[in-house]
Amino acid sequence: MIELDDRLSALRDHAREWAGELRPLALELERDPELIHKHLELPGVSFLARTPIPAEYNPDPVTIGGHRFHGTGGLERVTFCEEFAAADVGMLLAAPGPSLSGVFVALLGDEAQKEWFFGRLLERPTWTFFALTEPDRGSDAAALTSALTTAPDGETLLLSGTKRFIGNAARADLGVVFARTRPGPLGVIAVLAETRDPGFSATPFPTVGLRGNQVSEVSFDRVEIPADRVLGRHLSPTRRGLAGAVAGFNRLRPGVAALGLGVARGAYEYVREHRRALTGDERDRLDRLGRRIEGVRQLVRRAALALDHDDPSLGHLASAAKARAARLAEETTLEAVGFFGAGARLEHPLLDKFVRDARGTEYMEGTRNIQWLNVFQGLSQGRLRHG
Amino acid sequence: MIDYNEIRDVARADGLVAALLLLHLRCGGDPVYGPAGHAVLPASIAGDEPPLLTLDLYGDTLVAVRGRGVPSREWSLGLAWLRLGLSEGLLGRCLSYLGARTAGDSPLLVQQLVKGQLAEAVTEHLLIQGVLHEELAAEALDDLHLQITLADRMLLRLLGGSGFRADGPGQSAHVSELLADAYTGTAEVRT
Ligand SMILES: Cc1cc2nc3c(=O)[nH]c(=O)nc-3n(C[C@H](O)[C@H](O)[C@H](O)COP(=O)(O)OP(=O)(O)OC[C@H]3O[C@@H](n4cnc5c(N)ncnc54)[C@H](O)[C@@H]3O)c2cc1C
Repeated sequence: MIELDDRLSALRDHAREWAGELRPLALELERDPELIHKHLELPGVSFLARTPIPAEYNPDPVTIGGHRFHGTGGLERVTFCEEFAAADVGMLLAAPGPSLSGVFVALLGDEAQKEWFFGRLLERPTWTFFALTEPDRGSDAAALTSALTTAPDGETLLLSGTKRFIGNAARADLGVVFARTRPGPLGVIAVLAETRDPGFSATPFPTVGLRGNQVSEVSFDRVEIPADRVLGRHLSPTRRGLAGAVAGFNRLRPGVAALGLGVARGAYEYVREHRRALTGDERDRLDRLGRRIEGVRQLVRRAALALDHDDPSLGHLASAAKARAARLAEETTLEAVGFFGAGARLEHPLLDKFVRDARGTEYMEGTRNIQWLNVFQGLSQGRLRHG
Repeated sequence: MIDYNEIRDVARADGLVAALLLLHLRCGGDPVYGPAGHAVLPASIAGDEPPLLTLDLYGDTLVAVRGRGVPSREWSLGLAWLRLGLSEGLLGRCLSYLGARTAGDSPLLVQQLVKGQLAEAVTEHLLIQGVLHEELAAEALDDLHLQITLADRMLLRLLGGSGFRADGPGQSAHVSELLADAYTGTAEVRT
């Protein structure tokens, strides 16, 4: 069993308290994702706005019980992600902060880029976006077609293309965009883009769940990218671009897995809270759900530890955790509904929200099939059988 | 006597609202409420009571409302055929989507994992169709509804993120789940 030490237990307890404040706002935020602007002062939202930022770039991290938190550790991340998602994953995804982009900047950025990016985030609550998926290419991201061409000055790049399902893009100031400079796998690079620049536009579209995330269709029409905003300029071509994307996703997946885990736990706890007089059979069913959640929690924590220990099997473990947690979220939320009578989802809007949100965990950072293919690779390379 | 195949065909070809209107028409035209007094129906045939929930689906509006009345046997069976027809329509959408979308140079449709998942979903459809008959006990019918939901979920995953948009088939599947929610399960409010 992977248990939390004192430091992370303190984080978990605080995160639970913060998340508890967010839960009563969940349905309202769903109806109007713009309400997030009213909640920026809440400690939970403010924590998300300032994590993950590497220690070198944040002199004033969140401190709890004498412990400092940058949000960058794997086990640290899955611990607070689970707590927030058990209350309202929508608020977590609506919050300002480095979010997905921060991980890529930390991984691929040079000193100046990191100072610029994280500095901007620490000035005031600032939303970021991360744009990889395109209307015609999702799982097959390597085939993306958004293009970077050289401007007449010979240095500046011009970004053109369309991205889809980009969380928070309509309220973000800046973000990371993957695009290509030439055909072939090594032609893909990541750049930092600012949404105030001419040629950028983002249009939110409605989703069944996870509405706080306000996913958008983003279009870039010859958006100017200064040469110093190309991420990984100091790295070899094989380490930036697509290889960088893979490395970033490996680091992000334990956290996304924890979102699925949290959604499942939220639905399970909803049943425990609202169904007090259980029959024997119901009690058994609920206990079984509880055990499944604990099992997946262990899997998620194992992936998180692989991140903390630079374990080469990180990618495979993180994929296993992500795929399994998304399945857990779907199954648990549907089973939770079965504990109430007819019209349960109409009478229990929060439970209905968990069911809808659970569906969305499937797609974020890659679908189940893509994760499974990744797990198989780990299996065939002998990286998963022991330990 | 209702022609259940007609309901199923309309659901498959014309979608949820058309089929739901037809089912209402065939069952007398009035709103029908589930065991605990919930209806999910097109706003055009709902009364004036304030809705619990309003849903947009391809430009139509549906509402969830409370009321009274026990659904007839025909209604319950008709609803299962309706939801099966919708699920079959969803399968059709998956086939078009996956046939047009590529991984590398080939359509997603030829990926073996994808083929297997489509086969699994159509097998569920065949199974449900095989047992969906007049004499089915109420509990067995509830189970079938859950199976239809699970078949829908398999298919929604195959649509990728587009299956999560509220202006596409993912919303229809969501409303279909809410229909099952309103019209199946026990009447008692459990605490
Ligand atoms: C709520 C939400 C937030 C998101 N946020 C972001 C974001 O901020 N930034 C961003 O860039 N993207 C984001 N996404 C997009 C997400 O990453 C994609 O939806 C995901 O990668 C799947 O791509 P797709 O939707 O194009 O599905 P497709 O690639 O079209 O997949 C369709 C189906 O085919 C299967 N499939 C695909 N390839 C294979 C294969 N080789 N073998 C077997 N099966 C295969 C898939 O598993 C799926 O079932 C978000 C999506 C959602 C729903």
